[in-house]
Amino acid sequence: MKMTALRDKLIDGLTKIPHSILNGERERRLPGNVNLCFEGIEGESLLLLLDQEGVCASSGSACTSGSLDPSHVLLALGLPHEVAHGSLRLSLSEYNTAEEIDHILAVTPGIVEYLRNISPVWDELEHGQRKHII
Amino acid sequence: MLYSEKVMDHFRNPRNVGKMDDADGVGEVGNAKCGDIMRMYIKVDKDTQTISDVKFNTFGCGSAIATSSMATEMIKGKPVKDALALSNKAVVEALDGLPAHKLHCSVLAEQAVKAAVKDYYDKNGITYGKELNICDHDCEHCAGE
Repeated sequence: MKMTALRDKLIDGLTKIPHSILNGERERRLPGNVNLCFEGIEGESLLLLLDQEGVCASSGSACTSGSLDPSHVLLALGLPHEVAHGSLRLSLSEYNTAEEIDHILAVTPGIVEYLRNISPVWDELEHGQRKHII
Repeated sequence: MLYSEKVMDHFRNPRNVGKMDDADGVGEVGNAKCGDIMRMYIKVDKDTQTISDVKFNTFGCGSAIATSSMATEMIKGKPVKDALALSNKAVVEALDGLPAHKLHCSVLAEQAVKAAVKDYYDKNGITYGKELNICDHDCEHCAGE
């Protein structure tokens, strides 16, 4: 139960970031699984910056594991490549604490914003040259 | 660590990041499907044919952002023809290396510079040769998809 509560807190907080989406169902999911996409950014750069904040995360794009392709599961769910590239996967365990969740929620919005400000895709989304999908 | 300190520095503190509304040349390479898009803007001093200012926007991994940042530093203030001679290898060396599966990012950075120069040449009626053939969106890791 504790893990599910932390997971839900994480999902509630992270989906407040504009143009983000939870991948998979809200209710019927593993107690420790959080998987989202953020439009306009790429997953590996997100992971690197989270790592600098002490957050160990993964991305469907699996850049660090050698494959540069986005998650085939996210693609099968109907997400276009550019959105699937911007995925973030956080896995919780019974040892995670509410403080850690607060820390993730405190640092992630700024990181997403930082990367969006560098991104030409985000620039196009913001100026109506490209349509928001999520 | 996957990346050198220099790569991390350019990723965390990118030089010349942003948009340029009055650019003389704009080049965009890569595509969202591959997961990397680089857009480079150059301002050219017409009298000296030097790149007086340069900006970039990049969608991509840490090394994509770092290579574009480094490429802008390497061409800023340089003659346009020197910018054209910028090789991906030089960018990689300046960053103290890149992991093998990230080398394509440096190729994109080289191509982004060339694409911006090509756009400047096109807009100003300057002729050029085959050396300005740019990425046809058929990067190694996208080929065959």
